[in-house]
Amino acid sequence: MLPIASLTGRQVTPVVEYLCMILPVCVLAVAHLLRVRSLKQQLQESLEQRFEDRIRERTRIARELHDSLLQGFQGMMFRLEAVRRLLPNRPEKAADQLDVAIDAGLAAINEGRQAVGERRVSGLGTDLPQALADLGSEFEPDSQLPGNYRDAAPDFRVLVQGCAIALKPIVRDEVCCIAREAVRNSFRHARAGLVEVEIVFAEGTFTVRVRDDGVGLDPAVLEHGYRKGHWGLPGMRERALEFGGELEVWSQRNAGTEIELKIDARIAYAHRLRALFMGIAREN
Amino acid sequence: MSEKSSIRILCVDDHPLLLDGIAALIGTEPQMRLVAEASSGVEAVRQFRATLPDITLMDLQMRGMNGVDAIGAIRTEWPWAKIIVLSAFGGDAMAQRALKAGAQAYLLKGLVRGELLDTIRLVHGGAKWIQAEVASSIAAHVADTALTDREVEVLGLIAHGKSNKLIAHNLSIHEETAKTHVKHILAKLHANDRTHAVTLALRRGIIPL
Repeated sequence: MLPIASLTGRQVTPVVEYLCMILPVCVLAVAHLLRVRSLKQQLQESLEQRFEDRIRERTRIARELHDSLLQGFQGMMFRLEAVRRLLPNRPEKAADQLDVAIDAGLAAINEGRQAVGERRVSGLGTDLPQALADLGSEFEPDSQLPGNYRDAAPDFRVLVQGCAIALKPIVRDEVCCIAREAVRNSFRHARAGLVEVEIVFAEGTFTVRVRDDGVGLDPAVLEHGYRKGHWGLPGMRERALEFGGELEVWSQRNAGTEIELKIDARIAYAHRLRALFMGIAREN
Repeated sequence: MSEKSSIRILCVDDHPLLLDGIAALIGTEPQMRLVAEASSGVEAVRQFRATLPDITLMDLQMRGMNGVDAIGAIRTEWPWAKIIVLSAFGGDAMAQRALKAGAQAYLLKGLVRGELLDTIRLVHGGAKWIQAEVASSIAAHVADTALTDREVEVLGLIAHGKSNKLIAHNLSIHEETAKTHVKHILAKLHANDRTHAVTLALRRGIIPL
């Protein structure tokens, strides 16, 4: 038995040795092939994704350009035509209309600039409070216009709670756009005495609230979600949802309106750990 | 000029600067009077009911109920209504839809130098009017095979950045079917790729912006 066993042992050993050598190589090769395939697929998917993103971005820009720049300019052209007709017999009236046209042109340029992504926000995330503070001065001059924006400008202030934490650039831009639209609505439509922006840098959530003490939203607007011009409430909500934010609107007749935008810290902050650390540091 | 003999106008547009501009222009014409403004299709129907204007100036692309649906709703209830479309887009598909819905005139916002007030007078007098640019864009595509409703739906989803897989999911169809739709769309529009198809469709007003 023993010689046979040793004989078999001697016969089997090279095969086992061979298998021992070849098997890991095979496993490695297969693993490598699988990985290459999965990487290829990932690459393909990411390429497709980029392509789809590009189409979506193009559509968005086209829509925003149409909503802002083009419509603004077309409106201005009608006004200039009115000026042309008034000029011979009612030159003072024509001059008034020209003033409005100039301002409408500036407003349209500003909106168009935002539409193509050249946002007014500066490079640093911590500048968000400043960027939002600038909104007030952006809308105030309109109150001096004759005609449509004749109401006195409301007071405007920005409150910051917590230490400013850098936001991800894209989140910062979106927050600015949404806040800007809300502030604009308050300035233009609310007949408010005070417009307030509150920014809360909290550990788990980033929050921006825009509130006024004005006439409140028309119930129809609250219900249907849109009002005259721009992208209004549904636009804001859609925008917020797109990057994972949440938008709440609260409004009461003659008591005011508050729009609250909440974003989870994981989505909002550029450096989550630092945010956590600062949160803990503040608590201690 | 007494108020009775002036042409009473309702203006529908969702952009305040545009409404302001048209209001200023109409304000210079003593024989015309802007009696109401609306910024959506639903509001347009409501304001029409409230003021029964002689002429309605109607934008087509608005949130909520769009202009074409509003034209249809107004003309169903008030068949005598005279509606002038004032659109930013000259696409043949959009213009045809508006005219079929019952609009009497189609003007492009960008090409109305001096024409708006004249067109209001013309249409008030019972005439129909289509701008040359709009008419020629309709003529250019009159022999084309029209996209089916399903294909328009698919095109809309492409414009929203959806992949074939997501389109299939959205419409509860097989991915291969979605691919076939896309192939037909590209062929019918003579488009090179998906982006091109979206650009063409937007230009022709096949899908709204």
